[in-house]
Amino acid sequence: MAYINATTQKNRVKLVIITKDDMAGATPVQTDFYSATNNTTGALTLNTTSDPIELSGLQDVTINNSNGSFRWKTLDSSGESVITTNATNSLSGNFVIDVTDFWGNASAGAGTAEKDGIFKLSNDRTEVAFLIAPSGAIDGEYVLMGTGFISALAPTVSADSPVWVSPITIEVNGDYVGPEVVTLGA
Amino acid sequence: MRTQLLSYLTSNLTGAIKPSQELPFEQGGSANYLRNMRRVYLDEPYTEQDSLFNTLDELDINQKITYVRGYLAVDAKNRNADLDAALTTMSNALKQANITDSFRKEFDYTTTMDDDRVIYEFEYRYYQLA
Repeated sequence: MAYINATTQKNRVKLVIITKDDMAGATPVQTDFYSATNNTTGALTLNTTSDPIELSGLQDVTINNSNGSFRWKTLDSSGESVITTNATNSLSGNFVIDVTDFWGNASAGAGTAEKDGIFKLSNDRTEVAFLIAPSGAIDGEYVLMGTGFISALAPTVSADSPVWVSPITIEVNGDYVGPEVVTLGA
Repeated sequence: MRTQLLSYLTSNLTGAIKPSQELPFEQGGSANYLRNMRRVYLDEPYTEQDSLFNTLDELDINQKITYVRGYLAVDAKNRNADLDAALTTMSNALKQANITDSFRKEFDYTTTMDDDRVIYEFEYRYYQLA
């Protein structure tokens, strides 16, 4: 058995976000987010046109793919029949807030995710595209992509833990794209 | 942090119970706070780190706890008239000493009896982001 490994430097979980308007085509592809990856360190060479946010300080991530179901009974069977229906897809997690990730980077390109930051993308209800790499974006590993909206931000701080942390959810619009194997590593 | 605490105690403990500038060293098998009663001795600080938040990208956020321990021995038979005031001053030092970069401060002490002496062992704890 081979585990999905997220323990080594090159296998760190990556969550990269751009605005949907910065996608080159109708569906997200890996090059919308990065032009290359480092197979030794796992570092991403981010796309300089779409100016992504590579969300730092992630504490946990959950990939939700919850299909609905429709059940019916027939007189010739003792068990119900079932078919799955449209899925509710979302990415959720918690992260320690980085100032630039959250509030944006004034020197980044106008209208990009990096320029706006996570809070503005959520507050403005900007549709985003995301790429999640569960075991790093290095050659041979799998990534999932999709588009959706950021929600569920709830930044919080306490006297015992005086660093801001927040949950985050990306409500996925439609299906996930992928899984795709990374081939941009070097 | 010992410096700031000692500075505060030197300015505010001016009765029969006073701080010593020395560390609580031992000589001839006996600690100096046992030989010099009614003197408050502050030990060298030591630190330890705890995890506040672990993250998937190793951007772990830790807290550093700095401990400063102190000792005071007083006569058990004749209680010092200014003992209560001195203990209050030592407690006040926690917040009023010029230590501004910690997000949590704690102080407590315990007492033990040694022959005809009461020994106060107290501890200041300062929590900072590391």
